[in-house]
Amino acid sequence: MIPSISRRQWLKQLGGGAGALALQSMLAGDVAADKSENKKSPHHEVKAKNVIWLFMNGGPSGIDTFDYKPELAKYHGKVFEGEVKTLFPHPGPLMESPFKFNRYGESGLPISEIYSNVAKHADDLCVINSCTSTQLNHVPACYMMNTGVSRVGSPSIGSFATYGLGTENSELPGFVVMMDRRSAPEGGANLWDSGFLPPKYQGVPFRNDGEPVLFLDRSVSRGRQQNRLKFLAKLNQEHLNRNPHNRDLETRIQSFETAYKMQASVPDLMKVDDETEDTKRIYGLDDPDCEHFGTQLLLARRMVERGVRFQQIFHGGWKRNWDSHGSLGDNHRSLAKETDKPIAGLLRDLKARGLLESTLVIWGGEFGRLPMSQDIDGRDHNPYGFTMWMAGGGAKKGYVHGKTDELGYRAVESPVSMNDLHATILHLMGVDHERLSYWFSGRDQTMTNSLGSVVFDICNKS
Amino acid sequence: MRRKSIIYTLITTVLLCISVVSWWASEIAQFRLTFSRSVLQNELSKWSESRHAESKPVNEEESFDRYEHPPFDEEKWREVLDAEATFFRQLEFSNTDPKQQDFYPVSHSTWSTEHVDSPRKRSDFWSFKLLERPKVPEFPDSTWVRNPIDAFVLKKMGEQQLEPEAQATSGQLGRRLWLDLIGLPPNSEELANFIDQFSDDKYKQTVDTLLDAPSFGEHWASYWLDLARYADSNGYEEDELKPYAFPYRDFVIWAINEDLPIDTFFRWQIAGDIIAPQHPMAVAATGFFTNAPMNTFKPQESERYDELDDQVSTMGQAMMGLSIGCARCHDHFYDPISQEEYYGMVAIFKDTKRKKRFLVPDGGNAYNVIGSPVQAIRDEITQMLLDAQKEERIEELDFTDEEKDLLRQPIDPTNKRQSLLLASCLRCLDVEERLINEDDEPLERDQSRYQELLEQLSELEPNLLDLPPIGLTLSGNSISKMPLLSGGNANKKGREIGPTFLSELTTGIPDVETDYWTKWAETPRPALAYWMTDTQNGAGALIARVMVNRLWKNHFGTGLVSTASEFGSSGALPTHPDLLEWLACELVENGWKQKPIHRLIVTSATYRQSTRTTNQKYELDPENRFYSRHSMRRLSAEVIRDAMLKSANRLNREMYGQAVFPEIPQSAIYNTQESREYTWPVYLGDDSERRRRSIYLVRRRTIPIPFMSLFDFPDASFSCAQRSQTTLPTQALALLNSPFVAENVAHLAQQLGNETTTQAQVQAAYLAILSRSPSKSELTSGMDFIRNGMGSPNSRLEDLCHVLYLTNEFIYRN
Repeated sequence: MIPSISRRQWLKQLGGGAGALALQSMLAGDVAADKSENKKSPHHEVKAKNVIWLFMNGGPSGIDTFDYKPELAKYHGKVFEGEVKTLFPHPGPLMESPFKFNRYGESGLPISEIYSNVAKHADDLCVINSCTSTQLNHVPACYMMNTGVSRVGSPSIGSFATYGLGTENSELPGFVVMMDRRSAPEGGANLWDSGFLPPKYQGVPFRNDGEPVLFLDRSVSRGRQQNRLKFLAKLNQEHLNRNPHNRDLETRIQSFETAYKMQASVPDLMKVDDETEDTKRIYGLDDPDCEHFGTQLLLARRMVERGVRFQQIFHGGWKRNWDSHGSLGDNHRSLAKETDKPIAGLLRDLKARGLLESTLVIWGGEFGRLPMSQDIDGRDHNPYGFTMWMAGGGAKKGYVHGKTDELGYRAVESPVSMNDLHATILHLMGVDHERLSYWFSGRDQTMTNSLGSVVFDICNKS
Repeated sequence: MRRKSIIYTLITTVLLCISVVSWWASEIAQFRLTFSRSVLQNELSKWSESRHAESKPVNEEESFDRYEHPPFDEEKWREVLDAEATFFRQLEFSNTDPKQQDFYPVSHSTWSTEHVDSPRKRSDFWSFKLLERPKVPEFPDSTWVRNPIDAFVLKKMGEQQLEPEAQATSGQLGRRLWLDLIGLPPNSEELANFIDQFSDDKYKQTVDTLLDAPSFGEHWASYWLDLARYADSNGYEEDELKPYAFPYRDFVIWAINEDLPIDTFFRWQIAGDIIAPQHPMAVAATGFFTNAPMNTFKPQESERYDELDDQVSTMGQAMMGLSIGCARCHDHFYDPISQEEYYGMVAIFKDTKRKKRFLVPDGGNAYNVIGSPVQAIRDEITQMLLDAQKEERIEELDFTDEEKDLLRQPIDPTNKRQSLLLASCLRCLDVEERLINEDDEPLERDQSRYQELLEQLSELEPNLLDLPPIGLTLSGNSISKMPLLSGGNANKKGREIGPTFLSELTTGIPDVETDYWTKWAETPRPALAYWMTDTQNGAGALIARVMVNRLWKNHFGTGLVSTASEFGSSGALPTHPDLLEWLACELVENGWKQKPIHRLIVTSATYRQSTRTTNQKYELDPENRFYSRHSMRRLSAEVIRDAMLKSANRLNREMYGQAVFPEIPQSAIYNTQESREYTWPVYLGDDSERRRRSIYLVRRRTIPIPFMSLFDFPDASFSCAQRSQTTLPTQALALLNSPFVAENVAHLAQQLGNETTTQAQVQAAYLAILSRSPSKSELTSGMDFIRNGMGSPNSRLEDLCHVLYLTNEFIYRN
């Protein structure tokens, strides 16, 4: 039992708010959960056992990637007469996409030339062209995307998912975050924070340079550490014998055993060199532009194999990201180049290993970009209608959901709010977003706070 | 001890202020400072307050040049605090009786009539009703009962067929008292003194000594700072550091050490700038409302409402134990708080602003008299140089002369041609003050005026006084109305609501024909402050219950009400309602002072019990809700870190001042803007700053300090009533491998090396780290561990110290 939660809250969370999820206050990655309470039953059938979320930080343009707008070319250079709410004042005239689109696969999905490798998996993609957010500005929109609330402080969906479902590997966190090598996304640690959920559900940043997890590298030699741990075990056991009525003590004794093992198992996880040349190549590890992101995606697959529940990989950080107020063509072309091959490799690899069926891959940014130009060849933020896509994990295949208007400005058909998106992701993970709750600030809080509903249209029926 | 009349108090206040002011005037005359542009720009690059020219916070009132960031003057800040403490002690708050304060302004025409003017019927919900002192159960034959707390506890224990445990050993009590009261373990001498000829009197004397120690405030402030979601940065995209936030933190430490009565503590935080403007600490206290996270990069209207919601919700949770924020979108589901009342509370803060203020008794007028004209000149000069910068930009553009002329015109959104031009050069006109160079020249047309200004400046600047300490505070006290937002949506504004209190916490209409009323009738914040602490007509009874419960919780691990910030109907009921009520009455009748309550709690037999128990008792009450033993508790992040520093003799006891950046792993510095050094400016001198107590460590919202956040340190996004207590392998990794732990281990081992025998070394290590001597068998195995260890004698000692730091006994206090 977690002593920090009162008995009343505890019982409430067991019976009232949480429904079928067994002992959900037990943790993801917590060693206590390891022995007895690791089995957390979902509410219904699980389609997506794992999630890999590719967060394109800064807001990639939907109309230049997966939302083909041939009409826009006709209006190129003309001034849009309606009202446009932009972050920076003075929107410019409409601008056609600088990229060519082609149709791919049996589904015939139109995809921009900058994602020609991902396009080979068109028949696996479930493209949502009608996403909407309420936020015009990066960080509030990022918080909205990750937590369902634009202001800082709510739990991120990765935290909620691990809170509800636990993890399958006590030596790895349930929720892992990887960041762009250039810089972390603006908004920092609040993006993967557990908010009012206990801190154990926080996303744990993994680095693929230096220590993968903070404080993993031994401060002394292995032998000396073993010597210390052996003596520690003796002292702790004596202390436990003197204090038999505190269950935390045993949990903490185990935590040192787990920590010791992590010092071997985590570096083992990071050894992408063990992969075949072929595998490394499909992730683009032989291409300097793709190497960093490709390595992260290869790690992502290795983590899926080791039972990590939820991963979020940020592409783009401060200064260098998808936020192209000017020179959209150059920006998107080069950032797509860094991601196209690795993503295609990930989809192919997951599929070949039979993991795609149970792994939900999500692509998208905190918002899209407007069809109007800005600074001659850039675009401003567009939270009114933008594109994300999913693959695997129970999402429909070769399918397009929702529509923006002919210019790609606003979602006009089947809009999907961020809360809807969260409800749907949790649904695919086997969780009813209205029944997974946590008592905080005077009430049972849920991921969506009754603001979203599951978009069944994008879930595969079978 | 009755309170003298309020008039008397006011007169005393004024007299004392005059003396403090004149004391100050002589002090400040000694300081002079001219504003060197390079110094200012240096400061500017250090504190990235305005990276984007367009992102100036919309709701931050600038009372003086925001470029004036004088280096923090530690000495001067201490002078303010010392002067304040002297001043405060002379006021003798303990002589005042809060019952005399049966006044506060309601029923003003501009106030929401339907909620305040009509007589109210107070809710009879347990936490809302008026205080009523319960009878203390009588146990004439008990030798266990030491004070009324024990009588209440023993009665409940009896009902559960439980019996108290024996008193813990003197050694255990010593470590417990030190850690609970000052957040630091005793060192070997302190412990030896405590144990030697241990007696009840000695115990009580030690309690008094610890309650009076400056470390007491440093430890207990952390609980309130959690509730006040205190941080040293704004959060969100810019996450600017707030170099003027720390006076709020210092106010909390100071107030706890001075035992500022809780009612005053609350009133000052709500309206100290109006109630006691001459009082620097009262003004600093309003920082409570400026602790809110705030997005300063192109903030949208809805974000201002989020900020207001945060302020009202945090006040509700921290002070009143109510989740008022639930009524933002709809009437509260469980508690009698309507949506109108929520917006009525919001209206009280609607026109308030963040304001940097001089924290000196007279509000720093002396500085403004000279400073303001200087500022006006500087502003004009800056504008000229910006104009020149803009012209230079326009000249460089690839436009026709006619188009360039169009860009020189004032921006007119209806001018389509101008708009299109601007659309194609998005930031070409964004000139920034930070880009102004020393050798910049104004445009030809401004030259003569520019020279004139420079001359004036050179005359005035030598008269400038050195700046006093500055704090980020709340200002604004006008009556305003707040539109009701349907569903909390900024685009769905409904009818306007005036300032309101919560009607179910209000009794009748008090007599408003008092001096106080005529003075404060127009100002809702002081009214709220007095309503909040009014035990007869306002929320005073509730806040007394909430506050004593918090003190209890922090001594025992759980509150008598387990939901410490939720005293509404969705919260838990008290396990010991009479005890809670009795403690609340004690608090109020002791003039709202906290220390007597601490003293009652820690001198009770209930508190002094051992943590041992029998299987039978454990099964009857596994969570120890009936206090038939003492609960073992894990130390907080701060105490773990501070205890390591103190036990290794490395703790720097310096108090107060600017936040300290400790060294953290480079890869943990997430939001690297210009560079990691810019984002996380570690002091590169000797390591003394890094060895300060944890309460002074910087709280940068987007970059948590890994060692602290691993041990459940909250992230200051919202009011935190009770930290989680997690046990994770990543914590074990931090304790095994972090450089911080290694530094302490190395330092302590080196000191132990001075002991002549292995036996003495083991003995000293146990005393330093675990505050006790080892048992015979522990001594033997410790000596064996060193003898059979690896490497040099020093590294063997390090091994022993490290192991003791890793033990459960170190992390869990008995």
